[in-house]
Amino acid sequence: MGICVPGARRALRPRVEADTQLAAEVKALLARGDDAVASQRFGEIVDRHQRRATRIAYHYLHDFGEAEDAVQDAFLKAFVHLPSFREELFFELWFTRIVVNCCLDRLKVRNRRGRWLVPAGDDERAPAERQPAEEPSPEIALLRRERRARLEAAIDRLPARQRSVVILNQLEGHSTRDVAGMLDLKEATVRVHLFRAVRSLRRRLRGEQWLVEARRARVLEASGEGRG
Amino acid sequence: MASTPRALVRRLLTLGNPARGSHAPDHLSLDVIRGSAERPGANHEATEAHLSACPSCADRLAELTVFLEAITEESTAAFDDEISTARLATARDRIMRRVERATEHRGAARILRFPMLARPALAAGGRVHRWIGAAAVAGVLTGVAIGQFVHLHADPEPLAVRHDEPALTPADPPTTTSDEQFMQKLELALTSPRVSTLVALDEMTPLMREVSINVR
Repeated sequence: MGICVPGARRALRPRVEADTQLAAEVKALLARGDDAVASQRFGEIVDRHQRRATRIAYHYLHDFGEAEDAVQDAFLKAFVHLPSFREELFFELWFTRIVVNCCLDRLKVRNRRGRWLVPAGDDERAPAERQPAEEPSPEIALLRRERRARLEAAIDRLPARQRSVVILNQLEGHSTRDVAGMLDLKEATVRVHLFRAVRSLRRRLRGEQWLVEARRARVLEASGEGRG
Repeated sequence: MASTPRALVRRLLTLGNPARGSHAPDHLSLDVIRGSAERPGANHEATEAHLSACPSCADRLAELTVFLEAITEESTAAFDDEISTARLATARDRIMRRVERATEHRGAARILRFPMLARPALAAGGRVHRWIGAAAVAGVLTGVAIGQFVHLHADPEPLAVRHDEPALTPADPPTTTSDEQFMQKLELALTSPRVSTLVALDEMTPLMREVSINVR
């Protein structure tokens, strides 16, 4: 799995470099046969990337349990294939690509299954799993759930590449250059996908009350700043 | 969006260069939002200059910014509501268990190659078996043919002897033969093969020997 990141070395980020160095250390330990120490060190990589990876998986799958499983698979794949990891590349990009592929595989399986199964209700969590303290009232919770469902549906309806670009670039905050490396695309292509995705999302979410309110709040904020 | 062909042409001509008189297109505004570090250059600076000077474009930029911030915030909030630190910790333990299991099986779980000799040996053996089978079939056929040939040309002695002898028929007139001749014929009749369908008839018929003894 080769990742081409043109000029990526020019924009070295300390965190990304530290991750890559750690991955290289684990690789060396595996090569020496120190498997126990290697798995221990790999735990540090898990600590650094688990939350981010789970969030990416959640953006794709919209189900925490499934996102968790996808991330588990991704970490295991990363560990098993670490001997083939090339140190000159960034571990974060390499690993994110594994996560994205795991999520896309699960989506494919879900789509195949979805042809035969009747979809379950919106909130199938057990009552004990819900957190009533965080939900001010059932009405607000319901409105929020509907709002999120519409947003998720709008993102899901995007073509696969546009969706990946929106998730990785817009929602996760990776640069277009990094996203290009993760998805094995040219940076210009990523930018075109991003532009088209944002245009589609704006068209689909036009008239959403929460967006109108956000805009109004921003205007009020700006006018307050202007007066102050 | 350009509504007339002329507007479309003008837009295409000035695309990417708002300094040449058009409003900043959305993709350049998007670049500005995503940060100047990603796309430095003259176009970017011109777009920023235009955005600060043109209220209409600044308004569109603000709207786009609010939209992107809102969807990002909403998506992140959805994740944060769903996930808790405890659940992440449980998930981490599960990941590490699987990694450790993979480590344990790393040495042991090598895929053993299937013996390479098996396939060629099987192929050669098959050829040998085919020859053996063919030879066996040929042997059987030859044996059957020879058997048939020998059976057809065989000349059984008893039959020949019997054909040479004159057959006794009821239509023959009683002849006056000597006792010796009579006994010979009788012996011959007794030694001849018994036909199963005539056994019952034979049982009912009195034997000549008995008759002759009684007469005497």
